Amino acid sequence: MPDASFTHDDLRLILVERVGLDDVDVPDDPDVAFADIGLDSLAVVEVQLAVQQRFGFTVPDEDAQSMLTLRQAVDYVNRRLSPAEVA
Amino acid sequence: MITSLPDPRRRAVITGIGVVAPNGIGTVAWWDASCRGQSGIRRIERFDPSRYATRYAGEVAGFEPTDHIERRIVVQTDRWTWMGLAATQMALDDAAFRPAEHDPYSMGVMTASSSGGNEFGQVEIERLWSRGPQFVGAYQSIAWFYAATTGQISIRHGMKGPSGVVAAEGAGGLEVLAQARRALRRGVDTIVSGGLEAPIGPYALTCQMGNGRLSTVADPAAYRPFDERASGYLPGEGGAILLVESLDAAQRRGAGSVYAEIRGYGATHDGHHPTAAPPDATQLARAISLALRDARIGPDEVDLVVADGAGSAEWDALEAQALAGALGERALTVPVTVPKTMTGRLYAGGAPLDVAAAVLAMRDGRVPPTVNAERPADGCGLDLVRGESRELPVRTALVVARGYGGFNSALVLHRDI
Repeated sequence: MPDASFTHDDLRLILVERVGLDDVDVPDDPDVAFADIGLDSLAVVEVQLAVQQRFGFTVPDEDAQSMLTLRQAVDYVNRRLSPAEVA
Repeated sequence: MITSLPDPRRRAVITGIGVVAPNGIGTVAWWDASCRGQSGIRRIERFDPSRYATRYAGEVAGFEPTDHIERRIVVQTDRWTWMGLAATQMALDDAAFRPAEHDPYSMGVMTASSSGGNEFGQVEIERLWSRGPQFVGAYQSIAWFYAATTGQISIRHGMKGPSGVVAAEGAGGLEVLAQARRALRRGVDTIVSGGLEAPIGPYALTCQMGNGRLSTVADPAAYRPFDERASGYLPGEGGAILLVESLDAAQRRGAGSVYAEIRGYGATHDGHHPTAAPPDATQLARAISLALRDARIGPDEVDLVVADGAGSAEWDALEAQALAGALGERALTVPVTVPKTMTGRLYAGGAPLDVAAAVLAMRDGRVPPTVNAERPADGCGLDLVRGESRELPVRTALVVARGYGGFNSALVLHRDI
């Protein structure tokens, strides 16, 4: 069963473990853009893959490319996890 | 201004050295250990080698990537690139060269590599086959390929000039310095060059074992070039980054230390067989002769030879023949040494480290020894610097490097006192 929700802290963990950011580099403000915390396009792909590997659903490239901020990424994953989606 | 034709009057000099080696991290540590005859070859600890026929290698113990680069770069690169980035910073610091102060297009990066990102690739392949393609990470795309270290160095330091990678197995490390010299002669001011290798891992070792030239004798001293007990070589990881500048540019910026000039270069290929040794040393001798001619020096002016030192009877005999063929009588008296007996053969890292040894020998008047080769092979006839380092003034050194598959390269280095 996939996790019921995906939080800002869950995303922070992915950024720390998979992209190699330090904890302090991940802002608490969710409206900061990935580009502003030093993620290039390949790093965004790595986040996309981390989400896919964890939750088992595929993130199409166009969806990944429209996730520009931390909030947009968190909201996207939760939409995909919502009961309406899963059903 | 970059020209399409090289100007042979532009001279290439080595102004900075950075070393990561099994017997020392950092140039000072490695040179000190080498001059004391201290080897870094031990039983492999990175993984359990008991099922492998070769169990000894020169591993760089205690190399911590986060001592040198941020985690953000560590996760997207192989160990080979970590060491390359670390050695680059050492070389830049050694030369007091600050890339930010120079035109990006005047600086390039050319490194040698023989196997790319082994460890990174091994981990991703395991994920592929055990869990599926969706579990392969995004960074595999940039971590494994041969030019990855060059790319990361150029990005990190903003070097946008002619760049690339040279693959010629053990000869690559000299080939890349020749390539750097070509770029400098075409108008580039600075090339970060040299190379390293990180081939100590299960898959990488298995690949090497297929070449039939590794020693399977259970002894960390098994790599004994020019010795009657020669049984093959032992591998190692590491190498050297060398900052190479045009002499004009180095003088213009007030470079403090010019170690030596890359004065001559020669290269040939045996053109004989993918794996078997050639019937004679004609081609290797020719590479050496070409280098001497390019340098405009005669055999009697060669003060030191840093030999390829294959470590097997057949290949060692060929190298001795080549030296005799190219140097004549001088081959019997010129001091010859193989400091890679203290590190293992480092593939793309071997020849750059040998060049570093040659130029430091020039600086210090001291030649590091060949270790474990106390019993000269019959007919060897070379003055091998055995066991202990030797005090010797060196102004001109010849470095010889061969690559599996038939590559032969030679470099002549010269230092004006």
